[in-house]
Amino acid sequence: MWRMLPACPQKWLTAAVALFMLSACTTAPPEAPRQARSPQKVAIVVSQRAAVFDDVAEQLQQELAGNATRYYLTGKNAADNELAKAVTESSATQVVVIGLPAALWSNQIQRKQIVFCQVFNHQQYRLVSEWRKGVSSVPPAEQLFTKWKTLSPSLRRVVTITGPMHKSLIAHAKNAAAKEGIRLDHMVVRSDKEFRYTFKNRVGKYQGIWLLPDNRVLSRSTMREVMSYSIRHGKQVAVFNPQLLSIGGLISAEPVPEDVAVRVLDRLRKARPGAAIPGPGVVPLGKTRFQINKVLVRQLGLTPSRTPTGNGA
Amino acid sequence: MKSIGSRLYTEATKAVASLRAGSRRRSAKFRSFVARLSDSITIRLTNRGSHTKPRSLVNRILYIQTLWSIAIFLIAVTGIWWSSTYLIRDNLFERSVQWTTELDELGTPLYASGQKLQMTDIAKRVTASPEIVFVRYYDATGKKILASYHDDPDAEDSAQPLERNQIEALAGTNQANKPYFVDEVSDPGIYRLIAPIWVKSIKSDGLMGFSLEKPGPEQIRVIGYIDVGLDRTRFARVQNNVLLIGSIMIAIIVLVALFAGRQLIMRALAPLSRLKIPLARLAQGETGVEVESVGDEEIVAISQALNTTIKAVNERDEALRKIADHDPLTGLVNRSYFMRELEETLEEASHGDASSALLFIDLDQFKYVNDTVGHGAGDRLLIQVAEALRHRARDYDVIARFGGDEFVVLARDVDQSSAVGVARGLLKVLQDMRFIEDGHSFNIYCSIGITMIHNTRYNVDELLSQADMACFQAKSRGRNRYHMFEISDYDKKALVEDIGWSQRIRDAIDNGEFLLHFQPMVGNQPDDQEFYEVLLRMTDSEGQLVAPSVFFQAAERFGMMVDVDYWVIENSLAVLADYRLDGRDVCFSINLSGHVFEDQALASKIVEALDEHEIPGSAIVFEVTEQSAVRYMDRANSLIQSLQNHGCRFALDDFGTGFSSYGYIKSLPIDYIKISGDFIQDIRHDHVDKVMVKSMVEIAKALGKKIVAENIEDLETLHILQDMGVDYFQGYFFGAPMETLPDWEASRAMVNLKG
Repeated sequence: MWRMLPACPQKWLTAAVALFMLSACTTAPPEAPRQARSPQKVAIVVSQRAAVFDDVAEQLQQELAGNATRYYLTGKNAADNELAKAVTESSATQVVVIGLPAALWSNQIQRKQIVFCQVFNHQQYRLVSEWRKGVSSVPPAEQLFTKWKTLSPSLRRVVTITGPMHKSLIAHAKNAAAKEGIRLDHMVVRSDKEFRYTFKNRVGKYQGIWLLPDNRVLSRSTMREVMSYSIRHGKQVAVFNPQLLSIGGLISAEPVPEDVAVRVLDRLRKARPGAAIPGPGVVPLGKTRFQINKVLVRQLGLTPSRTPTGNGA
Repeated sequence: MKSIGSRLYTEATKAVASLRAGSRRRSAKFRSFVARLSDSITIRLTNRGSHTKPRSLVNRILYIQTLWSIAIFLIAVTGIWWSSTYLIRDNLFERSVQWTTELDELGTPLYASGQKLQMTDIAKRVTASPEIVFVRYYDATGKKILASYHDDPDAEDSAQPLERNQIEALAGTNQANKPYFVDEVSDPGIYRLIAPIWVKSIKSDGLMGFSLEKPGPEQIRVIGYIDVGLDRTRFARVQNNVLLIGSIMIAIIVLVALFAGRQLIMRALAPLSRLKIPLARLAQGETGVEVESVGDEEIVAISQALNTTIKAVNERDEALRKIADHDPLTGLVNRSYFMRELEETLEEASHGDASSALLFIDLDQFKYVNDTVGHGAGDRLLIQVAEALRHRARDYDVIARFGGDEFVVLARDVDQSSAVGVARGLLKVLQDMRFIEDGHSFNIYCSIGITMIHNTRYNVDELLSQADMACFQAKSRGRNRYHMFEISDYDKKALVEDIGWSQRIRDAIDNGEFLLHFQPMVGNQPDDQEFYEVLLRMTDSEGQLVAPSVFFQAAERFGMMVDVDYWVIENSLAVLADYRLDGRDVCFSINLSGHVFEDQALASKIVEALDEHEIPGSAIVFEVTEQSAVRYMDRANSLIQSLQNHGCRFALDDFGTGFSSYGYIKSLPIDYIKISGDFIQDIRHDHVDKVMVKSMVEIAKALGKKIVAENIEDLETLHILQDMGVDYFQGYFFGAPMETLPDWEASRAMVNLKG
């Protein structure tokens, strides 16, 4: 049956998804939140009702017990402005904004310590300031490359294509990859169109592609095209969302909400009242939730190593 | 529209009338009748009422088939042209879209780097495709050309910024349908398509919690435009090739179908085509044609119908011939047939030594029988005599009834003594015959004139005249005898003169050399109509005007009276029509001889002439003599009533001279009685004439008839007649006969003159 699959990608994909669903989830259990609590009142503002945001907000609210109040943006300027006014005038001295819209909304908030999370392109919007710092939305690169290397021991060259302003992230990732004996190259594009072109014309020499969730240069058609191209050309793709495994991703690495919450709380706790938030602009995450497309593993002829390296969750 | 039956009947009647008239011309008319009959049938059978050459049905069907084939060919070629045009346009669009898609991707570095050098790869790609005329990359404003390619480098500089309407048309960012701007007008040789270059991105943070199942909206941004021009002529060449090949293929198919259809139609209609030759022969009068009854049901039906019709026509033709050649009363051959036979005999005699005899027979007692026991008995006598003659004659002799009580016998191959023997035999037969009718027994005798037919210089008319004259001689010598014609019996000069008159009469008829004179008939009442009697005149050999009494004897002897009557009728009506066209309400009184009663077609001919000249019947009074009306009582009655139905009136002419019974007057449906001039001219002095006229007037008045008196030459006579109650007057007192109509008012004024 497998010999027939390359000739029929759609069937192959369907089968891959099915097997993937049966495969064991390699997600590591989230690290338990620390017991220390922020002594200050915290307002949690969520961009929208979505699991990826709600899970983090829920964890935060549990940890902060009665000191946290959760708000949702409505997407309507007037209401959101009112919310900004209310939060500003509230007793909360710290604000956690989850998602980019909430992070951008926080521009209206004055004299409060703000921590953002689940935002990929914070550089684009210059979100980092003395009073506003964040938690990375990208799982630790070390864990990804360790896991990937375990899965594909022969992996040597990986490329990632993003929009501009991710130098520090990429630099960190390159180091992480290098530790696993993998060369990570970074290509900067400015549109999905350029992404496609670059991908088709320049990834031939790479074994793997690390797909980062840069919405500026990705469109649905581009993602599908990349996945389709990768399958046809035997490329391994590490994706940021497990759904992409069904269309050709080999390994997905996504943040663990509890880990995100822990990192946010950590930043809140370290911030002294009435002072700027200490530490780097964005702190990395510590855990990763992995999922593997076992069908693709077989299809690509990968022979995973039994001794994993790194700290995959 | 007359039916074929009525037309045939009319033709037959004409033919019978022609035969009765007995003239050579009439005989010729009869011979032409059969031809006319055939023509008539042929015309009816082939093309009723059409005078144009009929078209061939087979050719018409083939013509229509050809037209249809051409129409189908044109429709098919038009369909190919339309389809190929549509497909090529569709193909052009699809190709253009494919090219813009490919060029969109190929042009990515251009938008990434903004360097024209990037065009090299694109140029390599499009150069390999000669259908590309040009490619232009515009920036997002559409004003600046970032890069371009043209297959003609010299034309590259002609590139212009996009127009506002083009940019507006491409402004939409609906993800489902990418807009395109097609320009087929600017340059007919180029199919130009402009497409926007899009970049898409997922909305801010859309990749957090990304879901394939719930696609969210994407942001689309136009970063430039691709303008592609395809060489339309290449596609047009393809289209033309398709059109040409398709047209040829269709033409071949249509031609094959046309040929096959033509063959099938020809084969199917072959039996119909085979009818053409027999029908053509039929149209030319050949009634001996038999049409082949083979083929399809419809053709067989037509063939059988034709054969049945031809058979019926032949039978009718035969019946008509019989009618035309025979005397309906006695069954003997008639004058026309006899004349033909006589001519043949004469022709044979002129080339050989054989001789024949012509016997002219006139019954001596016929008038007596008629007057004694009536005309019905007279007819029965004629039938009995005919039977006796037929019984006595040899098989190869020809016996004919010429009219009235005149019979002729053509005894073939006899010398003079044998001819005398034949005459004696005939005399004996009739002498032995007894005619018994109504208790009366009559001895029937006859007078026979014989003339020999041998190598002679006489023609048939002259021979008949000789026989007639010999018969007259026999009568003169005591009746119940025969007399052999001898030239010494007659004054040669008189004979030549008689023959001369017959020739002049014939010429006068043929050349219209008779003259018509008109004498007024003035009514006693002031409002009486303008009324003239038409009188026939002709000139003698010395150019002198002569009255009819001079030449009528010759006309009657040579059987030309009916022709004379018709000449008078036709020309009188023509003159009357001219006067009536001038607005004169004129009436003519026209004389008819007794011979016309033998012509059954007389009434129809007169009606046709009236219709032709557009003259109402009321403008005509026909005068018949008392003697002829009484002699042909039944036919006279029928003719008078027939023409009275068309408005014509009748006058009994020369009343009183025939010594007929008044009973005849009572039974004749006449309108006027013209008292013979013999009683009028001496009425002033002859008491008997006065009493007789008075008696006639009283009887006529009692019968409701109008009275006309002629030969009035003085005022006294007029007053006497006026006193008697005569209604109309005629005579030199009112005006002599003239070639033109006399002064009617002057004539009219004479009526009121006082003595």
